[in-house]
Amino acid sequence: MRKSNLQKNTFAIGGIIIFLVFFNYLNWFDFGKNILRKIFIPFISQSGNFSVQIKDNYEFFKNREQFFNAYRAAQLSLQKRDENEASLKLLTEENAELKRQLNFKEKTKYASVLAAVIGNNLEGTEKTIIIDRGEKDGIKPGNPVVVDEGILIGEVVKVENDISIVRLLSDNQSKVAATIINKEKSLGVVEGGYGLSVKMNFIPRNEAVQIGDLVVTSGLESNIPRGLLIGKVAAIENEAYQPFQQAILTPSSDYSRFVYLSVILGK
Amino acid sequence: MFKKIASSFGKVALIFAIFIAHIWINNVFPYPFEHINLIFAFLFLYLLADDSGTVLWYGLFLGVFLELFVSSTFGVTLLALFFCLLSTRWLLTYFLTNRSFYIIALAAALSMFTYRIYFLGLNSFTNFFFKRNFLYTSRTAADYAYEIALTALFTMLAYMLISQIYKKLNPRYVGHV
Repeated sequence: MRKSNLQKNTFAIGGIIIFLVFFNYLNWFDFGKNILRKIFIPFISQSGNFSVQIKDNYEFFKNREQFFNAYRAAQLSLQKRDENEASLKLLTEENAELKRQLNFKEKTKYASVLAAVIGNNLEGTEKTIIIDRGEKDGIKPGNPVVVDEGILIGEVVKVENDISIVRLLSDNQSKVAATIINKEKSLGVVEGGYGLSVKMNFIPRNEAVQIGDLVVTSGLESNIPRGLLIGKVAAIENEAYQPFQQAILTPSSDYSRFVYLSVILGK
Repeated sequence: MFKKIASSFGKVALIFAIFIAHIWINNVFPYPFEHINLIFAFLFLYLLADDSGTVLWYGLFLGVFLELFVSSTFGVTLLALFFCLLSTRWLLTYFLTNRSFYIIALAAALSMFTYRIYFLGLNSFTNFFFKRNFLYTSRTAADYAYEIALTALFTMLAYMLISQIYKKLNPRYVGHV
């Protein structure tokens, strides 16, 4: 009796799955998917927001020494920021003056869509996030995703009618062509899969890379414009027996705390 | 009649509750505990209590819900879960018939491993046809290893707890059923 029940269930469910896959391929399942998403998105959104709040409120330290080191580093960083702010003000004034004199035309901006982060992808092993914009907003797979004023954080990998899934740069599947802002404008590939940091590989060994150099997108990929900020060089690995050198980058944005982001629609 | 309606309502509520709890674990738990696959643990424990195939229906609904929010091609997670449940039933019926806590952890780990094998196989198959890239790196393997280990441990702990309350799962009673 049990065996016959199991057989019945197996055939019935196998058939349903084949129909679902077929219907989905023909987009006949979209209505049902939209309704189900509308039910679950508030829960994903709530848990995502809760997660961001927790990460904003707490910072964990292993011991006192680590805490004081972090405090001193924060003080130094604050001091440097003040200096930078002062020089930035001067540069802004200079820039405004030059713009007026040269009748500078503002650069054409890329078309983009503002999106809110709903939460993490439910496939727990991937570093991907779900955003509340999809195909109906013009998003396509491969579109780059940025925060603030042009910090690249990832790429759209899947688009549904009303949501999209973004693969973060820190995911082990992520690869982006990049350039270091140094004398040689060194080219390389930024890869994820190294925890919070990302790694830039395939940098020619004879080119000088310094800690603190900025890394931006190279524009060698058809879908990603040149000049989007990725991060800063934090460490360099240049071994004699390796054909290329590698740089470990500190991303310019914390990948776990996004609330809003922009998807660049086209170059 | 009323009993049937109440039972169906209860089952739907259970499916929704499990899925929402899975969302919270995935979003809120710190690394590496975010890798605990609650949906898998629930289906595995349900299979231990009832091997008549009802678990396949739970797997179908939970699989469809998961498909809405994952980056793989539609059907990959659903089919991987379906094949995994069938293999797990076979494993629990013919090989790992003992119901000690260690065997439960081992069976859960093996079952999760087969799920990932099915998932990777189906994902590679669809990516080949849809010309999408999927890179298998050492990090992918490490993430899967965390998921397998933590989910197996969680399943064993849940089994230890539930078997104290639910007689059908208690190893001391299994032999007399």
